[in-house]
Amino acid sequence: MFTPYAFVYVGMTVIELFVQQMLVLRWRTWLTDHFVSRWLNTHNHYRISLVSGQTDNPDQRISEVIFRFINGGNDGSNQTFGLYDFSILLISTITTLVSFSIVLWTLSESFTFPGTNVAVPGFLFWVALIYAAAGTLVTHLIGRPLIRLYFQRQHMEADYRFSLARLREYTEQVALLDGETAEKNLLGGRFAALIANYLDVIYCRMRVWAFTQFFGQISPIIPFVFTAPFYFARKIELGTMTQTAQAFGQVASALTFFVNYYTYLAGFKSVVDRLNSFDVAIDEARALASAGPARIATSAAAGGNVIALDNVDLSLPDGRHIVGARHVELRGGESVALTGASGSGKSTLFRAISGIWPYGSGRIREPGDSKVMVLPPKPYIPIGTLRAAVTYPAVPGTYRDEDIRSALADAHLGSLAGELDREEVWSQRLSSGEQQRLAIARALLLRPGWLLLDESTSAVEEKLEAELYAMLKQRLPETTIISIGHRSTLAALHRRHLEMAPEGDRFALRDAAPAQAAE
Amino acid sequence: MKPLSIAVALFGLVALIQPVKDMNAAAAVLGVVTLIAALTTYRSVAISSFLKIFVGIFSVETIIFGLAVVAVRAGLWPQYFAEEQPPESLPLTVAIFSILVYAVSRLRTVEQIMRIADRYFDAGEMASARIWPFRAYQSLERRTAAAMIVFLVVINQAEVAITVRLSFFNRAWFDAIQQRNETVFWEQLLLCSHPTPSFTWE
Repeated sequence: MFTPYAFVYVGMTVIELFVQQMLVLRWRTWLTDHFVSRWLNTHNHYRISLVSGQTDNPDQRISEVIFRFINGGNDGSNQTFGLYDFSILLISTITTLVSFSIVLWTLSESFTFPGTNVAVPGFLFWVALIYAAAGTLVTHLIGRPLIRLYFQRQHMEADYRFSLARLREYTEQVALLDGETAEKNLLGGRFAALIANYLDVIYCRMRVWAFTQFFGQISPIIPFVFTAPFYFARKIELGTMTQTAQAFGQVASALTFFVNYYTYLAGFKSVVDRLNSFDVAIDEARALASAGPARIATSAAAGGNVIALDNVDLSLPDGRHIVGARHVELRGGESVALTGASGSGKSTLFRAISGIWPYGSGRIREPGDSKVMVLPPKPYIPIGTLRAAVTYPAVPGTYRDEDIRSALADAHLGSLAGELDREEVWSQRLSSGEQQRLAIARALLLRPGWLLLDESTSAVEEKLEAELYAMLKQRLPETTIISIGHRSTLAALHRRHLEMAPEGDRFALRDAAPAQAAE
Repeated sequence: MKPLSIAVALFGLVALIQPVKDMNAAAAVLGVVTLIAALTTYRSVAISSFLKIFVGIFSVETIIFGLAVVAVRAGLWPQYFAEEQPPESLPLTVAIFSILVYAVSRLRTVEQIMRIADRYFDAGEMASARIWPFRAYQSLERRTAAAMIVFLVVINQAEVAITVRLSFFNRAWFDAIQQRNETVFWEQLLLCSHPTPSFTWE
């Protein structure tokens, strides 16, 4: 009977492994996709950062925690537990336990102690149960510190890696301050903690290893010891002995699985909590999607090309009011400079106009048929080719190369025109002034109806700033420019001047005094 | 779930006919447990989609194995497969599994886990799947997922069954070795089955 069954068995395990891996793959793909879209849709990722401080590292939750949820992040090299193990492997193990317990029970159903009349039905089953339970209990007690140690290790590794990564990010600042010695001390301290933890792990594992080796040597003998009296008394055959031994081993390893199961359950609970809290944070952020001032799109024909603020009142996430606008109309073709103290809500107003600010009330009428583009002070530059960086968020291929080159030239970045296909971390290679000009090149390509510049030329010297504004006016004659800035020269570059005027503990948006505008 | 629970209940009644006639309490256990499983299966309409798959598997198996056991009791089991006769404990065990899955689904921790797990097992998108050597086909992602779970559970159970079966081979084989019975030794190893000798501890 052996050969055919053995072949079938091997074939089955191979197919099982394949299907299992496919399930994990599809499941992970789907769930990652699910979380990424939920996180990015309707600007949820932005509002999550406003809503809750608790949702740290969404990146890690998406890249790692999802995998750990499904199968413990098991890449085949280490034993970890995910939902797959907690469900299907559990069923498989319980089935093994029950089946071989029944085998052991049947083998010793009519067991009586030799030389007496004391009957112990299922004697071998009880022996296996007690022996394996005692063994796993001892292993568990010796190995218990390991769980804490492994947990600490993850933290320490992350700390160490983070210190190194931060150093890389601020290398210039550290060099300027001669901070290398301080960094060495810091890194050395972190690494020493890591090594101390590693040594603790080694000592603990040695104790566990010594016991499991001892246990492993004894285990195969135990069932033979218990059945030997009957064998030598010619009550049972050799086959019964070996079958007993096998069943004994199966029951013992199944029990070990349960101890691991129980141990890993705590870790799995934290994985589930991390995914659940992320999910709840996304829900909260999504609930805010329609909060904030109502945005009403009006067609150019109906309402004219204007952005009108009616009774708009904006507040901070904690509820404090920062800025109000009773009735302000920004008319198409009339460029506006917006000034005010820092923290007076200028950027928040831009956020409200583009519809991502969820705190506040009132009504914002916007031209439905022309695009509103906001350039923040520090533009986002994706990792990849320069072409992708300039055309972002449009997919590469949307614009012709000569258009991209001329946009770069107009933004005073002509020297980069030859490097469109170069892949680099452009946010590190370009200075902040160059990054701001790159964002202006983006605006030249997109040709929005309204261009909201939030200190978008703050890192550019004043002469070049004036040249850029002149260039924008010439290249984008249809575009209305609204700028936020602190420089006194800014107002002169625009037709109208609005300011955030202090009004008690908050600010009100209104036209600046003509004297100021004339300056 | 509802039709399945009715089928389980019907089988539970069938399993009770003979024991009630014979006034055999031990044999009636299967029927009683099956009726409980029918109830929990019925209640499982409301539980997590992921766990529903498991309730489904075990409830279907209760009926299949249970009918086999009833057939054995009634003496209808084919003589040819005498060796593969299902033990009484088999349908009983899967019926208990079905009840346990339902019980587990009520735990708070499990509910939290299933909140995330069910995202995938409720997935309504169409996606391509392929079973070698057949061609790729379109199917709801949740169907593909459920099919894979069912397959994995059943294949795991089959593997355990084979391991148990091989342990009986092991017994017969070592008996043959002890008795220096070369014929049985090779028979056991290669092809034919051989009835295992019975024994007692007394």
